[in-house]
Amino acid sequence: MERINPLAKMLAILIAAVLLTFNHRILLNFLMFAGGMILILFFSQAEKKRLLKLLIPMLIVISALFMAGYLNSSQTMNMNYAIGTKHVENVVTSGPVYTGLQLSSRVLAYIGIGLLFALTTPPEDFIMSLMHQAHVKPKFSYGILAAFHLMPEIGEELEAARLAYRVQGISVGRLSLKPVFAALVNCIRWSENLAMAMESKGFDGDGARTFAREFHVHWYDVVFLILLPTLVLIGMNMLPV
Amino acid sequence: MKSMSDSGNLVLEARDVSFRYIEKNKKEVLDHVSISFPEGKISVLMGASGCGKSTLFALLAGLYPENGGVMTSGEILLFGKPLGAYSIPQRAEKLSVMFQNADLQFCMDTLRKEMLFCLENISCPPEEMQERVEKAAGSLQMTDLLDRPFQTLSGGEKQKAELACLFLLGSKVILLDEPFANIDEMWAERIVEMLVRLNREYGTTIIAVDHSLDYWLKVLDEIQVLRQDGSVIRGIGRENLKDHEELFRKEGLRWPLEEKRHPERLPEGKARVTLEGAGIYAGKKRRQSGHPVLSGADASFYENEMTAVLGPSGCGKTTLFRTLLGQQDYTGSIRIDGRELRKIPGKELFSEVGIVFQNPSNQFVTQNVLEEVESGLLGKLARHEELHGSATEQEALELLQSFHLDRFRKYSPYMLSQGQQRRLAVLSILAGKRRILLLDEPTYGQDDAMTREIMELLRSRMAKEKMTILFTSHDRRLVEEWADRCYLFREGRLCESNGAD
Amino acid sequence: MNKNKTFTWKLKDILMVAIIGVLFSFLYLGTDYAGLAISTALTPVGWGTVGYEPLYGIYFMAASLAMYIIQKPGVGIVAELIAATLEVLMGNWFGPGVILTGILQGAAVELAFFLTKYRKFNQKTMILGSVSVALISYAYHFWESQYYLLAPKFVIVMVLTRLVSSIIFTGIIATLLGNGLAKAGVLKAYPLGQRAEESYEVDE
Repeated sequence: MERINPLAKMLAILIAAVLLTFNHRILLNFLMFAGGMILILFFSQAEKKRLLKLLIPMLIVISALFMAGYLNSSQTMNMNYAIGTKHVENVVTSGPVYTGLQLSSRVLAYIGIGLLFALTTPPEDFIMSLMHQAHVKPKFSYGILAAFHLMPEIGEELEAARLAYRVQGISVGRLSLKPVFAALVNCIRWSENLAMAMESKGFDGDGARTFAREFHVHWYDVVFLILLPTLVLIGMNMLPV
Repeated sequence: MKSMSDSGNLVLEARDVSFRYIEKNKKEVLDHVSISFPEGKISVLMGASGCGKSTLFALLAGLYPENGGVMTSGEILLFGKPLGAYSIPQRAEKLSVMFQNADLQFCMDTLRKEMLFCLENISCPPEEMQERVEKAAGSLQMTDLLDRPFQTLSGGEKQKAELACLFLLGSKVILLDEPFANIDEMWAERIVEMLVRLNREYGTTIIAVDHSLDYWLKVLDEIQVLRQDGSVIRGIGRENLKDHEELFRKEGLRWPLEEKRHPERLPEGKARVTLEGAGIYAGKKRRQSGHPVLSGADASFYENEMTAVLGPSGCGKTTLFRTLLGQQDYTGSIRIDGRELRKIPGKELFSEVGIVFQNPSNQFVTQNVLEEVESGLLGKLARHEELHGSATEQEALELLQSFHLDRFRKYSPYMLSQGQQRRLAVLSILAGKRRILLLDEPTYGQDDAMTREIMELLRSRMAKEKMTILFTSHDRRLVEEWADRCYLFREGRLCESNGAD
Repeated sequence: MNKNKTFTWKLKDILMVAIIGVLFSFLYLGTDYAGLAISTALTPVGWGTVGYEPLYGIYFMAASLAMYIIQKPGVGIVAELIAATLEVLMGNWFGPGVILTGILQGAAVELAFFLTKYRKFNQKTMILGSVSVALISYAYHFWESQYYLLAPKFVIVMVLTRLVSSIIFTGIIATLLGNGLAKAGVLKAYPLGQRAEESYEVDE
């Protein structure tokens, strides 16, 4: 999966996600999730540990959604109306369960394909591909990348600001604004410093430049781009529920 | 006004430059300043805190007015051509800049990627890139740094990495802004070595802005002093330096040839903080997975004593301070007045132990200079309106006066310069009446006169209130002149040293 | 100065918005566990989905703060796009979908400023923007996540929670932070900072 051009992968997933918003078949949602997991587990180098770490909170969110649908369904009848097709009799029995599954399975599908992207696309590749295939200006691409690489420092900055309050005997909650403000002041200074440092190394955000790594679109990228949405479309029309 | 040392070509020149940060503000930060630097030389620009040398630096580097402020007169010339006439990549091949904050210079996460980024900037053909990177890294003996994440590098290594990037760009002029401010002695010397090599072998012009000549004295060609009135004194070299002592003193600059003074010892006090077989780990408090910063360390910090904690950057000095503030787990035993640190509740600990952070702007809790000190005095957030005319206000004003900050009392702390911010941070901690003080680089960014004042105030306070003071510093002279005791981080231990070596 | 000219982004502006975005994401992540806990606690009674709503406003802060500081057309949308791209880089589990929602949210924040013809950059407009972004983003989720399957009372509680959160974070707190930053003197290069300077007394 890592070999697929990031932008092609993104577009394929984006189109699939949009198509899914018109989908009311629960089975397709589950299949999308399963498909995503299979691709991640067997056709990529993604870390399994990271997958697990991301999945656990999501499962809680999904069960929250299911329960919300189950207990707060707007229908109490059977789901005739909701699916509007002839395959009513099988599988799903009552309105609330169906509503719960509708709500939660779609999110499950999003998660399946979302994780497929997140876990198999190195951040830098994505940015480079944005520059090469989507013609995003270098100043945006490298600017965002630089901020991304600063993440640990920004986190430490916020921690330091919180500590500063505590040691002066002022208690602060996690959402307290004061330390956020102090960190924000520094962050804005940083943006100036970093911009100056990048420019002093000859970085011209609009001008011509060469690239150490070029990203290209290959035949298999196109295949993936067409295949994924097509499969979703087929699923939307052919699956029983 | 040509001075005699204008030999050879000028590479960088400011002609009659005036500059202000705020258009409507009438006061100029620089008022018709002219300065120039000859090709192929190592020049050091000095000046007192607040004389405008940082601003001048930013103008010479082309950072201002591009990024703020207004230049109301004059021009900056790079190899005789106005700075604005160069495109950014063209300019980078002539002139590039190294900043004091090593953390904020990179946009990629490893040196190799950063170097490739530099080459892309100057449109180097892709097929040559890897080779040029390897070659540059090889000739600077930095090949082993190429693929290590920047996060894992020390401040010194980062500065060296930055220099490697500038070397790769082939800049003819390198401008440096207090490059040694955040790195330790060993690295500072290595970087000076590298700069001298660039200068001798490639004819690179080196221009440094610095408040201390410690590392430069042996290698520099010329010193220029920007005086408070905006005039520039030129032509100071190693040979005639002795004739300029008066100028240095008058401008509050550190006189490099001075005899060392030694701290006046106070009567011996009891040990307040003791480490016994203490182990400390880098990384967040919950996890101990990080490598040990200290293991089995013993040390004692005494009342009535200033103790300096030294060690290469990234060795864990800051982690030690965090631990003493109860922010980090430890093994073994750390006691404050005989009580085990981990058993002391946070509130009680913070009322006894105070800290001044490396980055002072992290620690301001109000948006007003006076309130900041008042908050320190009261030990809680102060509202200035409620304190008007009170004894607290009076005390706060006196404290501000003693550090020459009273005229900024209506300012937001963030509007002060780096040096002023640090003084304010020291003040508000002193105001808190805590008797154990941890100071991370307390005098960084101060000129000599201000350094003296800060240290003298700290020592007199210490004598009056029987305080225990720990400080870190990269400045060897500072440690020799002010510390009663000195600990070195060495292989996970704290070794006591007499400061002389 | 022509106030309606589209803004040309400089590198430092991009970095500013991106770094603010990262900072807010920490704020959000820091409260993530709280959201998760509320969510888990409410799940058995079927209200778990509401758990995250109280913090939703933090999501829009980067856009509204950038809009308030830079005060030029297009800033809200671009700021949200930068934030969304960052989220993708951080491995957001909705994956590329956040880019779509990013554009929508940015546009929603900007709508308020568009309605004032980009002339009024004050607390009122900011709150208007926060209301707009809360409602529009909910409308999108209503369709995308099929909230129409839920009972009306549930939907109403969700909308209201998001609205209140958005007004507090996106509307009021973002304005306060912006004003504070201007007062602290770090915004000299931006319209908001310059406005603050005009009222600033120099005490030398």
